[in-house]
Amino acid sequence: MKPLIVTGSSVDPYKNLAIEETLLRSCEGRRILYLWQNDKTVVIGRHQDAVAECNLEKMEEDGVTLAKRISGGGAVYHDMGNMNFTFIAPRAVLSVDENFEIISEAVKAFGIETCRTGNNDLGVAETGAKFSGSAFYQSGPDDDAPCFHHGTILCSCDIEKMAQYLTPSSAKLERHGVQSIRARVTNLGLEISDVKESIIRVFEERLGEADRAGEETADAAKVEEAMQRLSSQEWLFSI
Amino acid sequence: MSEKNDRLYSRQHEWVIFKDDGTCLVGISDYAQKELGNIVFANLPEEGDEVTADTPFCDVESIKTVSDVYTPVSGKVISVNVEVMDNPTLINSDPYGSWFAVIGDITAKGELLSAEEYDEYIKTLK
Repeated sequence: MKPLIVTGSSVDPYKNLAIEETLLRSCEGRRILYLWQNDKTVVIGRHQDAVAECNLEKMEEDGVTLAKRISGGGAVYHDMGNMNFTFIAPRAVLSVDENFEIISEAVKAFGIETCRTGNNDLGVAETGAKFSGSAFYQSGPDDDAPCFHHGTILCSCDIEKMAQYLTPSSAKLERHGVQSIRARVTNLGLEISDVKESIIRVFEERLGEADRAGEETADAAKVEEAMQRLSSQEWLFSI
Repeated sequence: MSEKNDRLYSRQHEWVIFKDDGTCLVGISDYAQKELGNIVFANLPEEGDEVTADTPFCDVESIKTVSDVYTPVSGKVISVNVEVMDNPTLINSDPYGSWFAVIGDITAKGELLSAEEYDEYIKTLK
């Protein structure tokens, strides 16, 4: 079966996370690359406490959405200067190293050398500053359990705003759940569309020609169901 | 063989000890904790949850990775191990002492292996 490349058009974080989850649950062993963008959003990890990880007042003032993903790790900020990738594959097939090689090679095409940093992140080799953060979800321990590796690619994100939103309004809170790790970040200074094309090219060079689809390839009823759950207060504010 | 003989195992790498009072203790195997790496958070089920054999009933987070954990039996969650919630690294250091939940009102069981059978099974993986 050919791999599938899905290009998103929605910029609603709840819809996009619902599409991602639906693609995962219905992949039936197929390898999928999903490329997508969220408009201004703070996305926290599955076991994080929103109140302790971000400045909800400032976010509300600026119209920034709070979302929570099903994968682990810490809080990140997305805007239209950031692109997200999701590699979906069965557990035995999904290779974090291979995925990072694809992203690194795609970025290298623009003359930027990369390096692995921190806990499975990518940085610009010259400065070590992080431009890409990753997180992971495994639907089970079996070899054929669908899994994903997703991450961000900062191209022209508003990093000043990012720092404001990712600083909790009260530092004295008792902290619950998984805590975020601060990292020095940088933009690649590239056009999102160029990076997207480059990733698709490298992905196909490695895995062979892929089928293409828009986000409507994900079952609409399942997306709607997941979206209701992922946008509920219960999901966002439970740890 | 690191597996203990006092319990049974699922192919999804959970262990289960059936007790005389009709309840059972459920945790994850040594193989599972090694595969997962350092566990930083255990999102255990809630007391009273109805769970179904061979479906996810809770999840754990190792570095940036969330993994679903399956229940080997159907029934009702009687209690959860608060100690494991407070100190999830116990799952890595003592997987066979770190039970996740007590499940009662057991109505069904998934396929379960003896320690020896499970040991043979994990040798076939990877």
